[in-house]
Amino acid sequence: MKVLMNPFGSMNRKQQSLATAFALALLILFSSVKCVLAQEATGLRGDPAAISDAEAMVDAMGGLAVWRELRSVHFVHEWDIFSRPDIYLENEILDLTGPRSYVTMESETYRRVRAYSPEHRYWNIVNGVFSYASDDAFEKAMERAPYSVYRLARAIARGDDYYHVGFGPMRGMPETQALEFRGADNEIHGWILLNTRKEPVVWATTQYSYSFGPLKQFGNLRVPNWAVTGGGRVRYEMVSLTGSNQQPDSTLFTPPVEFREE
Amino acid sequence: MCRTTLIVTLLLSILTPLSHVSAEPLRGDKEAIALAERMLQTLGGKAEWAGGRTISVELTGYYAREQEPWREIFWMDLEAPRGRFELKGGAVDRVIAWTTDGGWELDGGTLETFSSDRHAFEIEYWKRQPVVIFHRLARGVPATRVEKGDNEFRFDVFDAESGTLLAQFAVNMKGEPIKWGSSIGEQEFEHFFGPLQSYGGLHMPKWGGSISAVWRYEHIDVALTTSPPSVSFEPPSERGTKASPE
Repeated sequence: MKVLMNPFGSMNRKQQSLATAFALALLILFSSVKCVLAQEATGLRGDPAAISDAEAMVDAMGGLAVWRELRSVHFVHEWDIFSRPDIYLENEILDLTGPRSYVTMESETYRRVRAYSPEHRYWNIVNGVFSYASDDAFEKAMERAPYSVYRLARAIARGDDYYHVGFGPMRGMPETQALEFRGADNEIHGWILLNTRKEPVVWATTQYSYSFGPLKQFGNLRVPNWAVTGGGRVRYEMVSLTGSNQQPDSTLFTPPVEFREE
Repeated sequence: MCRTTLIVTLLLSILTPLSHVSAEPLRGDKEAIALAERMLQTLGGKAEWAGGRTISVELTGYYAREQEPWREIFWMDLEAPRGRFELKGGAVDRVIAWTTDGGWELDGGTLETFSSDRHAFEIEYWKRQPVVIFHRLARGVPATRVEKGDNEFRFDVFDAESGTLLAQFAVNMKGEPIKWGSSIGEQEFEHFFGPLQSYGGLHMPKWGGSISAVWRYEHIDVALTTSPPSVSFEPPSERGTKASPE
């Protein structure tokens, strides 16, 4: 019974020491190989200093460990657009695993639902009227979606090798040095300008540029409290943000049954 | 004689505050005047801004190049060019004050007197400050002209005597200011404003910043009083027991 419980059986003390050392060496070797393989399999591409800054940004936004596990975020914004008489409340559910988004916008006088996904394209219901957005709007949504600041934060935390990170001037701000994000086509699709604390202060895609307010804590996440775009003409304040390690319900992106094309 | 003196004194005491808030009509085109007056209405009203003399503002400031945010309190006279700013937080520990006679900056214990260029700049910048312009638009004094900008949401503010363009404002459909722009020589400034929030009778942006993303702020408190500033504008070494200048 004693022998059965001893993995080294009837070995003498010297043999046991050698076996232990051999097992430890194997364990260390295995761990090292596993670690190297993991780094090769996943890892942001690009300038190590830029990658380090990108990771520091995610740390400032709540930490790599939290963002790594996220699969969706649900945020509520209060939007104020200069040419509108109303302020509206926007609920957005963003799928961080792919280019999918579902949004409701509501005020006392206005209700819009819109969603985009590769599976069901880009559709809208504005005050009860359904329509598909143009091909151009859909393609633009697909182009900018991977460069959403939230999707970038998750990708950085996961070391997603789809992205290449480097330094370069912020779009429209030639005197700055920002993080540049390239995709598989090696073209720049996203920019983030960090402050000294490595917090994002300006974020841009090829289509939009947002100046961010200071970071505010929402649960375990820290994200900009407010933002402006269009030279101050459009702004939002973050009302709430919740993250989840579950993907959103896929039916959200499907047009409601009464509007579905057969 | 005594009775006459009393009547004159009473009349003066009644007329003095009235003369302080007396307003001249704005000059310029009707649409721009309507935009300017609507903007003042959203900011708490023409009377509030016309009657105010000193604004004190407490805010949290965020400079992109500073490691930590700082707390700032400033006092500004809306009728004469003078102001005092106190900034503290992280590596920032600074007091700045200036009047028409000169100015100084105490930065981390080192006192520096303004150069003539810096002083001239501060005086010119004061004339363009949004809060100084709100007061000026409300009073119409000194003579002020407004003109419609390049779209229905913009108007420009000029000193009517010199013709100098002081500032350009953009407002939203509700009439609230959303952007301010100005320039001094080659230097251009553009700030955005967040949604308005009530601070007593005033409505002021909750937050704002520079379009260039160099700095941002969030207001903590704003107060407008009808009396001249009670803070000192004298540099620390010369302050001694001297009374604060009027």
